[in-house]
Amino acid sequence: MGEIMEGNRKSGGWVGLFLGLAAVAAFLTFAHWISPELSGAAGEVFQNNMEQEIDATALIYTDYGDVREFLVEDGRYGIELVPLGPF
Amino acid sequence: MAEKEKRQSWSDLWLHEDYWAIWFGAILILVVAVGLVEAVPKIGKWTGNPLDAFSGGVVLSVAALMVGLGLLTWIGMILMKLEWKVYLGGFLFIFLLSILSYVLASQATMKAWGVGYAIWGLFLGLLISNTVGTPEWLLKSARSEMFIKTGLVLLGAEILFSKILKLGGPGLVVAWIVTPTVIIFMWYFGTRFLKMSSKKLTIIVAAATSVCGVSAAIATAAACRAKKEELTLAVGMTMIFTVIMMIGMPALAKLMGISPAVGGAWLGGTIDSTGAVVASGALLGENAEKVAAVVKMIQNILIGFVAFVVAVAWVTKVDRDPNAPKPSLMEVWYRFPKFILGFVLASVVFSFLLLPLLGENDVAAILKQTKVFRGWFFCLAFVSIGLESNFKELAGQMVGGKPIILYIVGQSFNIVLTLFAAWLAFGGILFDKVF
Repeated sequence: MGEIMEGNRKSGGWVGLFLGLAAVAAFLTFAHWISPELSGAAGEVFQNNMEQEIDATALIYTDYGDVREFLVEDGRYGIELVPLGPF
Repeated sequence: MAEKEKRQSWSDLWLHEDYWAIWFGAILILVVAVGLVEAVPKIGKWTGNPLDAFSGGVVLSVAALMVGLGLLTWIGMILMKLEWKVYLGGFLFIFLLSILSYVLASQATMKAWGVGYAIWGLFLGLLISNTVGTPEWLLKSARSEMFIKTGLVLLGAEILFSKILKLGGPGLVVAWIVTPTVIIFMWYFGTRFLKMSSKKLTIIVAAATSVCGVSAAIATAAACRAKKEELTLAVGMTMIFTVIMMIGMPALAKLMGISPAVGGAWLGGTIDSTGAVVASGALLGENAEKVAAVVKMIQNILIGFVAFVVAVAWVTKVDRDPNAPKPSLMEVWYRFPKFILGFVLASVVFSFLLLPLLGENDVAAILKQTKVFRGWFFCLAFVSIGLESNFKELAGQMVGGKPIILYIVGQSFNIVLTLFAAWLAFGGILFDKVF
């Protein structure tokens, strides 16, 4: 066991691991407790962020359907749609 | 000559990880496209009870996904003649950590705060590697580059070039003029003024700041073959500042009395994460939210361009001995990261072949599932990076706080320039007013 545990530099051992996991649990509990307490702009932004389904990615197609509908309406940005080739 | 022949061997197609990333990506896209996989499982949202994340029979489908991805990548490991004998055991452990990362990220408050799977994956991996240590057998399965490259090929499919011109001139002005300007500014600021020792870290932070955060950082890091610690640092900084900007930027826009269209474009062009852009844009109203989302999506398309340009620049200029002769085209080809071609190819196939053939709805249905595959691969990658890294090396990347200075100065420049561009494009100066 000692041999196969030499793969990476380490410190703290199992106590450190359990302390780390305990810190995660404490953080989640704290976050869960404080979240409803947040009000005003921050609370609203967080609420929006929780409800939306867009990943932090390069998507044109997203779960946020309204944007897609918005995209294909020409004229909204002051220009006509420019078709590319046969599409 | 023997060296040259070796470099151009056809066997690279089944021996090289870059090509396997393309094969993995192609296979996963194919199984979704032909209907073999109808729904790739996702971890559900939960509030107080983590078991709620697995409601609706997700456990079995996630287990099936673990076995499927494990076997697929195992076959690749065998053909690449890598550590395939111990790979599967380690993969299962890494996948379980990935599930845990997703569970933690899916907690309602974590989702609200934008603490995503990338941060949790890195944290869990780092926690293990820095406490009990990562066992050798597990390190052999932590194929972070293979996972990242596969995820990037899948990401390429989501970038539909044929849509670019349909997104509107004002958005293009904000996203496509400001973004390259900020990248170039940050590059020169980091390398000439700050004299950062790592050019790779400089370009990763620049891309993450100016394009779209985590995804851009991953793509750029892979393109210039950066160290894992450099990517970790860029991702960590990006996610922390995204939370700050997500709250601060709409408040600032309101304080300044900016119109919804200009404000939305400003947020879309500056906040790193697409989700955070939409969330904060909504604070300025429905129209601002839409403009913000559109500008962000136009900007996101630049990921592929940036990754390609960085890969070429690194092979031909940055990573080259200045005294050496100019590399031949074959040399450039040899050193070029091939998975970038898979990234571009996936985008071209979806944009110019599948979109006209299948139509928007079918392509959207395919991408909805490949997007989840991509998320799992990125999550596997971040767990692996954590398992391979340690805090000491990570701290060594900070070198006098230069990366943070680079981020803050670059982001400040981005904020000012984007506001100016948003005013020009959406304020009725260059184009008619949108709202």
